[in-house]
Amino acid sequence: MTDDPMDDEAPIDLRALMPDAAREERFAARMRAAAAPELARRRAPLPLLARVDRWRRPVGAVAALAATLALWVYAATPAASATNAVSDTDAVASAVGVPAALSGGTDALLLGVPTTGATP
Amino acid sequence: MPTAPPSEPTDAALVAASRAGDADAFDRLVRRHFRVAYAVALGVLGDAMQAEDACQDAFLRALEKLEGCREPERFAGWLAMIVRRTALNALRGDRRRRQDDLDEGAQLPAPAGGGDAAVREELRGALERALAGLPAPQREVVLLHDHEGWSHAEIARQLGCSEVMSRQHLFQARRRLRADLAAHDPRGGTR
Repeated sequence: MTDDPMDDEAPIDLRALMPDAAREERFAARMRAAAAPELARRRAPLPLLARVDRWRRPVGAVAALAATLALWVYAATPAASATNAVSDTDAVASAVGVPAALSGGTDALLLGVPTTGATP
Repeated sequence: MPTAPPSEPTDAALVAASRAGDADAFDRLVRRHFRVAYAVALGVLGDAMQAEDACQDAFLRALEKLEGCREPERFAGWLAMIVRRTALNALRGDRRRRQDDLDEGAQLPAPAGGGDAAVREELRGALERALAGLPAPQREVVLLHDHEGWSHAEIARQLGCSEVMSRQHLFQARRRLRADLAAHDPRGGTR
């Protein structure tokens, strides 16, 4: 750093620009008065509504997460039910001793076999 | 940047107490960081009264947003950013009136001589005029470096420029200030 020719020059004495002790004291007093309401607000216990408001965001975020999760579970569940339905149809067909296509359900619909009144 | 003496509470402790509404703690923070805040504001605004007003606004804003100070041990840097933003807003919003004030200031007669206070006041006036003639970045750099003792790295971080640029600003600011002060007083205002 000291090798830099730009650093060779001595600093400028700017002390005269800075506020003196009396001015600093006046500023501190002004700040005390100006900051008093905010400091008092911070010391006071939060009213119920403010406390609720404080938790509004975290509660909202958790609720949104829960809703997303529920939606995802709901979206996944019908697919499982459909699979189960087909398996159930297959199980019924094998139990009754008829081809699965005649026992109704998805397969029957796909094959165009009437599901009601169909007898072997 | 100002740091707490070993026997004094740290900035982090004072920030924590201020968050809880401790008026004494906030008062200590104000006293500890007023000069840096003032130097930053004066660097942007170039006017003592406006700089003091900007400092007050900035301290109040800092108090209101104290929860946003994520590194309380680096309160000085965080405050300096708020002061700078506040001063820049004041500058933008009040540019025209500021120019009038500066013009009026330039036309004020020099204070009558006699005594140290008068000499100091005269030097202060000369410095203020010389400083007001500098571009804002040069003013900010010379105040933070030569008065507050910030490093170029700290200044660069604060102003969002490179360290090389900070050095250049300092070099040019010192040159211009020396020239202006020498024109005002052959003894100059240098150490």
